[in-house]
Amino acid sequence: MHEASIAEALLEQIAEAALRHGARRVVGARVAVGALSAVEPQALAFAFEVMRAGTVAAACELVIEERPLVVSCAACGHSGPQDPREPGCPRCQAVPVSVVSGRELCLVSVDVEDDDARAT
Amino acid sequence: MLELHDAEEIPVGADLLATNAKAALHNREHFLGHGVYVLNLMSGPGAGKTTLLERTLDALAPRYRLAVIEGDVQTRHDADRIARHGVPVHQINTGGACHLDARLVHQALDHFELGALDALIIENVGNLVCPAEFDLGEHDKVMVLSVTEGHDKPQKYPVMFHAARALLLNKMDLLPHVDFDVAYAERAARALNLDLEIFRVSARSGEGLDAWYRWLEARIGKAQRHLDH
Repeated sequence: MHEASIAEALLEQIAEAALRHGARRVVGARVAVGALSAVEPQALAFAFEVMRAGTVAAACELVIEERPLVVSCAACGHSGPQDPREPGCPRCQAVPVSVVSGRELCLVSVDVEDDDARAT
Repeated sequence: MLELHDAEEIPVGADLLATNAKAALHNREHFLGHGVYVLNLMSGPGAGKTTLLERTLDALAPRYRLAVIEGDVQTRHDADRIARHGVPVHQINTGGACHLDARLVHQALDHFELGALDALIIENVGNLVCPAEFDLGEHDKVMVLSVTEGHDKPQKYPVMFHAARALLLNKMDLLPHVDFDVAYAERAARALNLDLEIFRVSARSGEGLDAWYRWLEARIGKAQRHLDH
């Protein structure tokens, strides 16, 4: 349910990136959402679509990259993907394991273009 | 001739919680500057946060200067309950949002004189998902899970259990009536969070609360010693 707050933050970050690069329009944005981020990709996409109107991202296509949970185990040295609902190492079941990735919640990149067609 | 330029991809790498993190840092500076210990109390709806808080206020108010921020989607019911315990309280209504954020807490701080407080307890909106994502600038996140909710909650809502410093298993007086496997829940929570302090309590009967009060007093004391140095 907090995806609306996240979409708001996303639009702020997109607007900042556009401003930094002097772009008038952002036509694409790539977002990484980790399995442990507590963000539901579909809800984020919906909130973004509703909230982007009237901003620099009004025509922005959102690409959400879902990043799986990857853990590493100090007990047996195993490193690999794990189901976020399962505690412990997928190989030796030892707990706890450290999280290598899966917590991400970030704007990876934006696709910008100038609004004007230019004479060449 | 006219030519439409292709879109250019620009790497950004911005944390989407950065705006909140910045506001939380600002709150943290306030809290540290005044030596006030701040606790963010989180749980699903109906786990017993407010009852626990009422008990805790009665136990600690004789020795500590306490205040409370109440977060709810709407109503002042919880703030009215807290006010009966003679403690300064401010209600935040999020108007639909499922969590408190650092900016809302910062606005609420205007209602308190932080320098005159030992501890501020923030009761977050009842929700097992969203509050964990939003740092408020607090010292500790403390979670309440009641035995009526089911022992697989740590696995279903790992983010919150991972973020908490302490977990209160509440409504232990109801344990004979429910199928809650205490050992399973504790193991699942510790698998996510090795250093998690766990207290088995009943906010209604008072069972197990003394250990929780002692832990809280130690945390308040630690925050104040930091100010002295």
